[in-house]
Amino acid sequence: MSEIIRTAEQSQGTPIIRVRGLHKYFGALHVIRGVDLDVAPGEVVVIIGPSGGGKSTFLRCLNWLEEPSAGTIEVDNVVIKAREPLGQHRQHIRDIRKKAGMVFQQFNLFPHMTALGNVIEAPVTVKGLSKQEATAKAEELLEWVGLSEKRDEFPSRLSGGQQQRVAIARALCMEPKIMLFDEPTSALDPELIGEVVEVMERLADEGMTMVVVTHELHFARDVADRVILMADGVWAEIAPPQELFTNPKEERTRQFLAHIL
Amino acid sequence: MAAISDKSGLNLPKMVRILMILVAITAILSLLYAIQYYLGGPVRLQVVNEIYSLDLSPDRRLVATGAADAKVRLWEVPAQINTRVGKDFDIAAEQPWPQHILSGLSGPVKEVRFTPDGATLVAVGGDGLVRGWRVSDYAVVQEVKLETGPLVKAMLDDSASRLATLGEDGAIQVWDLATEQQIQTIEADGALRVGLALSGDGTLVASGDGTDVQVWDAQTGEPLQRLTASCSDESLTTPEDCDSAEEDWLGHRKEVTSLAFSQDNALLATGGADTAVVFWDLESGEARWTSAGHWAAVSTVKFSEDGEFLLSGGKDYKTRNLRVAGGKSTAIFEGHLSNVNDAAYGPWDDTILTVADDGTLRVWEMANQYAIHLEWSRLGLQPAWGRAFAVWMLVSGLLSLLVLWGLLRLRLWGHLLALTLYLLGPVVVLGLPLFEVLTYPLRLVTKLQIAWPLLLLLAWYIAILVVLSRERVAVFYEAPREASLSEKIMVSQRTLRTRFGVYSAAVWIALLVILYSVLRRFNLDIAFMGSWLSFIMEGSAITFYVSAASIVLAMVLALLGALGRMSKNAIANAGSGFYISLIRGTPLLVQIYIWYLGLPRLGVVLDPRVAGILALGVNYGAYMTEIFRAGIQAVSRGQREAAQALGMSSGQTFRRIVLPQAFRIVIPPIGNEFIAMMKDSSLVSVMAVQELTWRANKVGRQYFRGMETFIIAAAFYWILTVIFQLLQGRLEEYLARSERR
Repeated sequence: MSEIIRTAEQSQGTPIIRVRGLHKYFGALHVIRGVDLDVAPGEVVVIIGPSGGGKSTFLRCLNWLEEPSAGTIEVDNVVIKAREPLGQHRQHIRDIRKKAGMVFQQFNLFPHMTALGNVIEAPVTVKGLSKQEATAKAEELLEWVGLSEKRDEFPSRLSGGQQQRVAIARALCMEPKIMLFDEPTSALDPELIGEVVEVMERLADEGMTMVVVTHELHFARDVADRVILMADGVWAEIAPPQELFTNPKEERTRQFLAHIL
Repeated sequence: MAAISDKSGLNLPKMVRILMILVAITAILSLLYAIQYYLGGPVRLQVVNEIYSLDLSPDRRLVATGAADAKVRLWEVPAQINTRVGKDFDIAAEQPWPQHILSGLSGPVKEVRFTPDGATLVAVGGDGLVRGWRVSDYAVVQEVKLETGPLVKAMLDDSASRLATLGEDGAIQVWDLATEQQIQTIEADGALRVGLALSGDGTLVASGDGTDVQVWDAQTGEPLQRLTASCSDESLTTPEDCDSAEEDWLGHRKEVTSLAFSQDNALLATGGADTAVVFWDLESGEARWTSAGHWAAVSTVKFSEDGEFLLSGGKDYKTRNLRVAGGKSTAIFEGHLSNVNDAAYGPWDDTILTVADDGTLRVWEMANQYAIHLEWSRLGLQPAWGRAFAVWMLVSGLLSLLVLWGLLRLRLWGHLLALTLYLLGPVVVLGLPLFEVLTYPLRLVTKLQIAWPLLLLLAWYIAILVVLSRERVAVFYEAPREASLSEKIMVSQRTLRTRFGVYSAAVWIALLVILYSVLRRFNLDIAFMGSWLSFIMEGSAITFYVSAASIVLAMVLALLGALGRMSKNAIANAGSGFYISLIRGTPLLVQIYIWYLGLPRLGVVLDPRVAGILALGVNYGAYMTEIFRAGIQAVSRGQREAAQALGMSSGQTFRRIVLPQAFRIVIPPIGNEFIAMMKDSSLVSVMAVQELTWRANKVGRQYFRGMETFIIAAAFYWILTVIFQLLQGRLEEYLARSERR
């Protein structure tokens, strides 16, 4: 299995993601108010919290889909400082994006391509893989997410859960070092959530470094190494799941959990 | 599937039983009508009576006409001319003239003529029976049965005592009615004879011989003169050579169809199938003048008494008054619904009389060319509709039997055949004659008197259609009783779908037929259209080429324009804004002129097609910019983000992800633009690009047949558009394949 998904082989000591002093403004709105985070290779970090708390924005800042207003982001030794001059900067962003696969709430599959086409698109255009190589790899990945028989279907003919699994395969096909999940199950019908969560759990078992923004508390409890409660643009609490769910230290956490459970 | 056919008819759904009864009645009545019609039975639609011949009594108080029903009608003309002619004049409200019908002839009446004293009227029937009536008391004073075969034409001299006949075998015979003796026979010699003329004094006979005219001495049968067409440059022998040398062709190009001697026998006027009227000098044997202007064969020519004018009536339903000296037309009388067969000056000053195949006698005022009086030899439909109706009755009767069988076995085809049959009938066979009757210049009550059988049948067909369209009729076809509900629903859905298709096809056919009948009203010169069809059609290839090339150019420009509009780069953004503003702010035609006139001034001499493509492409590019911009912006932001998150550069994202999706969105509006472009491409005709409009305009102007040529052009634009719409549908289907669920 591990030939398909290559996980970080760094020593456990060096963090693969290092965020320092991250701020993000939308106009006058201060969405992220200076957060730091280190994620070790193979670690699964789940970010939960009330909506509007800046979770998604934080995740999108990691691969520069949102440009941070201040701070430094380092992914697998690629360092970008906010407000750096262009040039180098642009190349670094693409380097980070190649290392960080992302899965979106709305799947964002390319509707004009088949499932297979979606998966091989980036390896062929970005990495310069030949179509045969990419297809072989994509077929393995589609099988891994349990969709090998849907390879020639267009996204419109797939269920939400199937689409999200194709999206995961698409991200994995770029052989990322880390995976970012932006509320991957929020747009799904309840009975379809399971199949996506199951894939994510297997991915975690493979040792993939994952940062997951989700409302799926079961996933957080069962899979996460650390759970972060983010509220009002800052970390309200960081703790292992058992601790955070059973014995929260912060008042804000208790409030949130009381609200949800 | 267990067929229902083995069940007894009593188990049929009630509506189907009702339908079958209606169809059975239709079948029986239709077949009865058709059979008795073809056996010569009495029940037939009232049709008008083609009037073949016309004469005016010397005192101008009586008009005699001879018609297809073997009857001669005499009309008493009021002494006073009707002066209430004007825009609001309603010819249908006029008092009819007193009429007297003289019968006793057999076969269509080919010739009627008053004796010079006005006391006797002589008429010649199509089978050689000649009768004379005393005008004062309508007593028969003369009856001669001439030993001729069926006649094509017959003509009496001014004294109504000498008769020339043209038989169907092509032989011309001259008779003296006083002695009942045949004077001469001019044998058929293989010449193509259609028209016939006998001079007023009875001394000369003339007939066409193909494009030539042959004149004989009526007394001796000696050939006197052969009038042959020639070119004004005598070295050229064919009309085509003569035309291309821009010389005048004097004479006919097609067979001679009508002839008339002038009163003094100095001139012979001939009308031909080539639409021309030629005036021949009998002294020299040369053609003096040729007069064009009819749109179809000339069926009659007639000199005025003083010999200064000539009336010509044609198969274009028009009558023209020509000045003999020079052959120029002074008046055109339009209004007959069919071929004009005879014409005469009178009955009042500055009026003329015409008779036609539409069964009417019309009086026209010369000065303003209005019809001022109209008489029907018999009210009714045009004869062709009567024949078509009988054919329809036969066909629909037989098909109704087939429908009956299909319905009995509950087959869908039976239902569809019934649908087709009873939609086709009202639309084509009843709709067209109804349309024609409604345009007759008659009072509505009279129109209804003519049209009631059609209306009755129409109502009957509508009743059948109403029953046919009931759900309960459609549901059961071919669905076995024991079928499951879902199967039944599927079958009925399929039935409904098919029925929808048949209905819409029928509506299309109906509208096409209406369009056709409106076009028919324009009296189009079909032969002329046929001869120029291929020339104009060749333009459609150029139209398509210019439009296709322009749309490609426009798409490139529109894409660049859209990128410019969305760009944050000031130069690109403003440049694109300027382009759009300039092009959208000026008319396309003006732009085309500027391209056309401006490029040569810059020393750029382009093929007009290329210049046309530039003009159209640049213009449409500006309009399509918005389409592209909307298409690009309609691709969701998530798509761009997903691509970027995969590490794709912005160029890759645009090319691989955004553009293909935007393209699918813009295809339908671009298709519309292309259709609009194909029609706007007609504007480049001003650049002498030889596309459809240019060709239609050129031919139309040259021959004064703009209506004909532009209708051809319009048809081809339509055809191009329809073809493209089909292709567009296919393309959209292909592009939408990823959307299909």
